[in-house]
Amino acid sequence: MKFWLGRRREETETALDKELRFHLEERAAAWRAEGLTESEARRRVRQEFGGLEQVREECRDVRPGEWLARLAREVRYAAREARKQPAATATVVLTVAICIAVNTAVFAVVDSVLLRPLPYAGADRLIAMINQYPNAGISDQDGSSAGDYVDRAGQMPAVAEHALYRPISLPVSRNETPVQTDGLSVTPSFFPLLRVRAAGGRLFTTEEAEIGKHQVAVLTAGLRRELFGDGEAVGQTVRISGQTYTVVGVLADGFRFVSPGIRFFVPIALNERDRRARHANNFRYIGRLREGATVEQAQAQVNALNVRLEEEQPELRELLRNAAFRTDVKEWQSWLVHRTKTNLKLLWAGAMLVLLAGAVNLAGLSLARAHTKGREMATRLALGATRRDLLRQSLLEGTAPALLGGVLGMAAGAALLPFADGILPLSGADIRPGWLVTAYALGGALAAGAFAGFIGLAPLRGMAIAGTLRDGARGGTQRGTAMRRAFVIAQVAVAFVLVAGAGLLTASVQALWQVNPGFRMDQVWTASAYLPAAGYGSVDGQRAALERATEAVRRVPGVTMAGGGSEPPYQKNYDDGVVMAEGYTMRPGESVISPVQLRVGPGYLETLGVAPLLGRLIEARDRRESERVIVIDEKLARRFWPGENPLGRRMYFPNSPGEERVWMTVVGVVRSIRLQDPSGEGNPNGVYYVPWDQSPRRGMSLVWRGREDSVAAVRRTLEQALPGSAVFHVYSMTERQQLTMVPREMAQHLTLGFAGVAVLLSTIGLHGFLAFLVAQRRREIGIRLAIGCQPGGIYRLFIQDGAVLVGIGLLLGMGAAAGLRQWVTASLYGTGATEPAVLAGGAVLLAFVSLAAVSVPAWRAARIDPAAVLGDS
Amino acid sequence: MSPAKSDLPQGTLDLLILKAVAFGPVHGYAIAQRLQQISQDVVQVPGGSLYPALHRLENRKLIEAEWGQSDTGREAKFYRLSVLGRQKLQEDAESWQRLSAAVALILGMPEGETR
Repeated sequence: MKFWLGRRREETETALDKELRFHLEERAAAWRAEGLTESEARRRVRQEFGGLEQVREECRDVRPGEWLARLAREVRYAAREARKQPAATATVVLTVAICIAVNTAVFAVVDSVLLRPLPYAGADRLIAMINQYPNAGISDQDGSSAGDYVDRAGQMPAVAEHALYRPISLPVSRNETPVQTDGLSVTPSFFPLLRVRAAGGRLFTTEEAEIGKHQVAVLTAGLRRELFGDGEAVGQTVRISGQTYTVVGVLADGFRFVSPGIRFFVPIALNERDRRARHANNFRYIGRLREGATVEQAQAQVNALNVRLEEEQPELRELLRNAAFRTDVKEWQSWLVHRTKTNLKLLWAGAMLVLLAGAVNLAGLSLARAHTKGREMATRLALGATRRDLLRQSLLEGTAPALLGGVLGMAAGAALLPFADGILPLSGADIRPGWLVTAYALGGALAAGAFAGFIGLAPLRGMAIAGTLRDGARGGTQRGTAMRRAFVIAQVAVAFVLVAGAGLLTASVQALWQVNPGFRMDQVWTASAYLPAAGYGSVDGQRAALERATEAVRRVPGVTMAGGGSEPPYQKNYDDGVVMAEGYTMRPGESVISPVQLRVGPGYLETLGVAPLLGRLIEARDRRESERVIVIDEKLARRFWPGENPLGRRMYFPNSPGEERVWMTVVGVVRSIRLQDPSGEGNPNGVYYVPWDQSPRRGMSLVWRGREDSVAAVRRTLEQALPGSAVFHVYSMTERQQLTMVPREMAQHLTLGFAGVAVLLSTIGLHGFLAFLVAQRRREIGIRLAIGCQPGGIYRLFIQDGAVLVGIGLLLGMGAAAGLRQWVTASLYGTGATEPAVLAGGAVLLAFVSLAAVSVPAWRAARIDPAAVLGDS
Repeated sequence: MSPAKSDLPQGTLDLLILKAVAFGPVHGYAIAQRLQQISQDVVQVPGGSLYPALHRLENRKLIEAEWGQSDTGREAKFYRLSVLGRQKLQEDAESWQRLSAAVALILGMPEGETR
């Protein structure tokens, strides 16, 4: 195919030449016949005919499909030019490759998470419904209740399908040791709502939501392989939490819901009590809008339904109103990503700044080349090339290497992506580059290249051809130099913004590592276990299990202290529960609060080094049959008994009408601790501690103090003490903090990378520009040196020139950083005091690096040999 | 010296070429000669305009080309009118004549009459 095209082109070219030659020779013959000499005739013909090459070009232009051939020709020319300057071309390719790699990686995440619809049919009609109680301190939760599911089905015309789901983490096994595995319990409506089918077997039937018929499971392809290898899974049984479940279906490879960690599904079996529970918020709610219905309609309908339900429950009305209860209806995908969205957008902005810095660098390079190419361009203009031809050529010379860099960068960026997948939990998206990412990356590369090519032509505008031919490159350089100056300044400014951002993020991460969370971290270890229903179904079994486990761990050599409770510190999710105080009258409109609830055994708080401020901690005497007690933190003490001693006062959980109220006596007050996150984020209402023995459950955790070499022994001991359960999340407290820091450190590392690239680019830009200035003024420098100017003076001259550029750039960068400040500081922790120091440090660092870049050409200038320079001309 | 030359109005060159090739196969050089002679040296088509125009007309299938022997015995590319070209020539010539007659009428107005 290619061969054929080539041959045909060649034939056409020869024919054209033959035709034109015939004309020229006939004409020459005619002039000779009139008496002109051979050479006079030839000259005359050339004059009449015009530029032969131009005529050829125009004849080619009218051919069909000619633009393609022309492009190919120009690409070949551009490639030849590029090969002539390998260093400059390599700089362009590398610059673009780095910028595009960064942008590909970041944009692939943005595209996957924010832009691309989730991989379910009609995903745009999926909605989340979330109960919020802002005045009770619960304004960013994700809960709904089984009662809501019962109430709403059939009462909301805008919502065609409803489902509940709840993340669960249970020990799963076939025969061997159980492995703690994440899964989801779902209503049978869940899979049809997502339009998901089973790859093998079937999904859940409506009857399987009934207690007694609910012991069936659907596995992901990955878990199926792990448990059954190549064997058939459907119809087999697995043990989940010690109970036997029948596998009824297997999902297709590649299916995932929210997190790839979710690997099995079981039906939610609701009893009558569950079905009446409203405001328990122990489930998550997903719905599918009817065709044509809107989120707003669904919101209006759920609002009306809530009002109706409040009227039916006068005893709750006051409470709910004071808590400012509402149900949010959100488009599901945007709700899933609402917490990561801002950070992603900031990262994207950072990546774009890097690309901008890169494009500016290319433009500077291209301007530099324009100076040296000025004579060539003027020659081509004189030979009949139009300005449009030159523009096209220049754009092509800019874009061809940029495109190469773009392709390389895209490959590098795609290679970085697997790392991104782990960073964005709960995005629901599968992070992979799609066509939009390709378009974005190549488009970015092209735009940068075209920008550079276009800027490279700027000095040619209004250029006098004759002047340029005579003077070499000097015509039109004034404007070019001014532009390069502006570019260098812009680069320094952009680099400063990124350096400042990276510095602040780093300071924030450092500050978080310095935080005193209010509990001991050093040599403290944690582990979690989930007690299977088989053997631990009774509360007595659960009580005994914690006691047994704690005792066993205490006996492990190297362990000095141990205690058990519901969760360790720095966990993602905690139970919370509304708690009230006897004799406390709420102000009109005041809401109840729902602080974090921890159930702890003796030794738990002691191991964490949390000492009582007043009274005592939970002790071994706080048994099931003894007086019910509660330990509260300072926040709760201040709220319910400001200025008074809370010891001996009584508290209670709100009870349904007809239920007996259970009183708890406050026996101790402890310091507030940063339980959920070192930044202190999380439930703003505080924490209370109740004895494990008085309200045990199946999920438990151990904390202990001891040497690192005892950890393996503790794990073994726990597995022996709690047969049938899986022991998981064995971490030191430092590792737990590390886990809370992952998203922040990720952002920090990315921004540091961006800043590094931007500084590198601005350094290259500065160096290039100063080197150009020196080259341009070689003669002048030579003369100055010849008439007695000291080399030191020359050096200072250029250093000053560079310092002015850097200074202006830094000032502009500071202005921009101040303007952007409010967007960034919201996601920073504890940088208020260190901010000026960080910014100053960034400025000093950048100034130092920049001046180093400037000093190389300045030093070269000072070493110019006047004799050699003046000898040149 | 040489007679005053006129710039050809846009698109006229195509019409003239169509007319010049209407008498039978003719090569590019002869077309240029013919236009110059018939117009008594008023129309002088530089090669730079002629050949792109010829190739354009050929691509639009208004003229056809064939290699043959010139009077001087050399190989030359001969152009002749296609069926499509003959139609085009007729239409364009008519419209040109209408237009030039109209222009002549207007320019021929005695200048006092407009008052």
